Amino acid sequence: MPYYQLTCPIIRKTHLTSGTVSLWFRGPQIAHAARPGQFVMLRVRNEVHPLLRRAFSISRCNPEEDAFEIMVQAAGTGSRILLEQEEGEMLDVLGPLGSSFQPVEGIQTALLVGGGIGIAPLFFLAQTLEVDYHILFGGRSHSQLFALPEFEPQMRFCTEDGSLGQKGLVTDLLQKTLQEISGKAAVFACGPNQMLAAVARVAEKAGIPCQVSMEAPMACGVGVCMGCPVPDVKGGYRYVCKDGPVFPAEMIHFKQLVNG
Amino acid sequence: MGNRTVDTRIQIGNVIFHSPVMVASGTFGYGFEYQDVVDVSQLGAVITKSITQEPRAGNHPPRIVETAAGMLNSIGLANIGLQRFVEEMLPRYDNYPTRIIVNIAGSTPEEYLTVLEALAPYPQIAAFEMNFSCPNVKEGGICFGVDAKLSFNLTQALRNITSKPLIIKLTPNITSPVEVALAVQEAGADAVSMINTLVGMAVDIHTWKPRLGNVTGGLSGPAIKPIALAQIWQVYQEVSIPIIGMGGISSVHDAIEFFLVGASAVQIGTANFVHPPTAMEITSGLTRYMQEKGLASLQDIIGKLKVEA
Repeated sequence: MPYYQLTCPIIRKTHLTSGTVSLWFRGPQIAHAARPGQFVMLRVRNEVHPLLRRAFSISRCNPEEDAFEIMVQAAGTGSRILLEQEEGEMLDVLGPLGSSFQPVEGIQTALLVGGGIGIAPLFFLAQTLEVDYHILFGGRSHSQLFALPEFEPQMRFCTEDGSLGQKGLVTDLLQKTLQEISGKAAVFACGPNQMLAAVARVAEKAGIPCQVSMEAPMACGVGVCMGCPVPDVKGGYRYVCKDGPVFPAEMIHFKQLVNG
Repeated sequence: MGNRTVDTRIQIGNVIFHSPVMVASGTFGYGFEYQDVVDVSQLGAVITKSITQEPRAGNHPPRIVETAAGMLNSIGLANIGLQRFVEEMLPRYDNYPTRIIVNIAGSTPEEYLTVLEALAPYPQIAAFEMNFSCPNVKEGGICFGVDAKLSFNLTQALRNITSKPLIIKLTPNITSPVEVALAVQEAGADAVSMINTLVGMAVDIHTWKPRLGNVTGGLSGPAIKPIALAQIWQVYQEVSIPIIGMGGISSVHDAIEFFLVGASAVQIGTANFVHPPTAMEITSGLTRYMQEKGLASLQDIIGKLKVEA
């Protein structure tokens, strides 16, 4: 799959929560080629600091306006600069990069499980699904969570402090949802490593396929710097940028990943 | 002066490179990964990731940390190993649009010799760069790059294996790089490349842990450019073989500074991650600069730094 380096204008900026924005960019080649789960490497400004590009999952595409979206949550220097960007500003984007969520044959329901800003690529997946789905969105408290109108009927929420939806972890919500649905299901998850490890365990116990989208510090995004390893169950490493970011959950050595 | 042709060719050992702008080992993969966005035919050469005798999985993560105007890495020479390199990569270099320089690393002198012996006969390879200076590999215990005698002996043994250009990549983690540079020149090296990354560290004040899995790593990027320039200037005044300069180059302006302090060619490293076409743009920017200044060949700027007596 080819990728592109484009200078893309921000065409829409909306606040999703007090510390999270949606940025839509116009970038025809990326908007048309991208598949759910893929990411872009974005240069937050053309200066030596912050130096490296930042990786963002593509959260939605709208090929009719040649546009793709990312969701940015305030974290470090790079994301804070991005949060301040306004419509009309141009950013240098490399993408689409990496692997995508793969269709699972013969399922009736897709369970999309997102933790925090890890929800982003699951919206893009939901846009393309041809089966019923639920989006399970978990966070620490309601201030982290948000709904998008087009997916709201399918969204279920949970918070650790009980301020929105079910109280508890997103794996509790996943287990509850699994009991409610009938027919074959598959899980597609994105979020912190601890959460992905727990989701993968739940899916394995339930005997259903699970794909996870992972994150790791990376410099290049294209398989060059070897900076983003995750441990492979067979030994050695897989690389988030080129082997992933989407992996079959059974490929990842979660115990080693989480315990270091 | 506007349209006069300029000669950007550079000779290293018995090979002529059409451009003095190359991409550094470890920042351009095996030469294919950036082809969607970089026209590699415009580069003087692509230097491969370090190849070791056996495949290496690399260091425990995290391996990358961004620092002020730079980055730390502790990759640990992750690579596919000699056998897979020969089987999978060499055939793909048959019609590669520019010259391939293979970077070789090892934990023992024997490993360097074995890998060079295996690769020397392949016509797809234009030259070899010897990594005497990886800061991220512990086993073996010997860092050849800081010891002039060891560097001399190993370079001499490598020289006996091939007549292709032999470039020794020097470490900057040393009081003065001059002694080692002189030693490898004496042993028959065709060029030295410098500087490799500087040993550095970053700390997480919340967990009190180092931010790299390997504790320390190699610092690269614009932050190290002044150190690179100073070390190259030092070596240029003592050594007669060509110096391939690198360390934080991200623009043609940076590259010209390197030529002026004595580099005959330059390598672009970390900047590839930030802006993949950097080396390409430096090649064309260099031609424009030489045209504007009325310089016929690179020899007119190499080492021409004006220092008051």
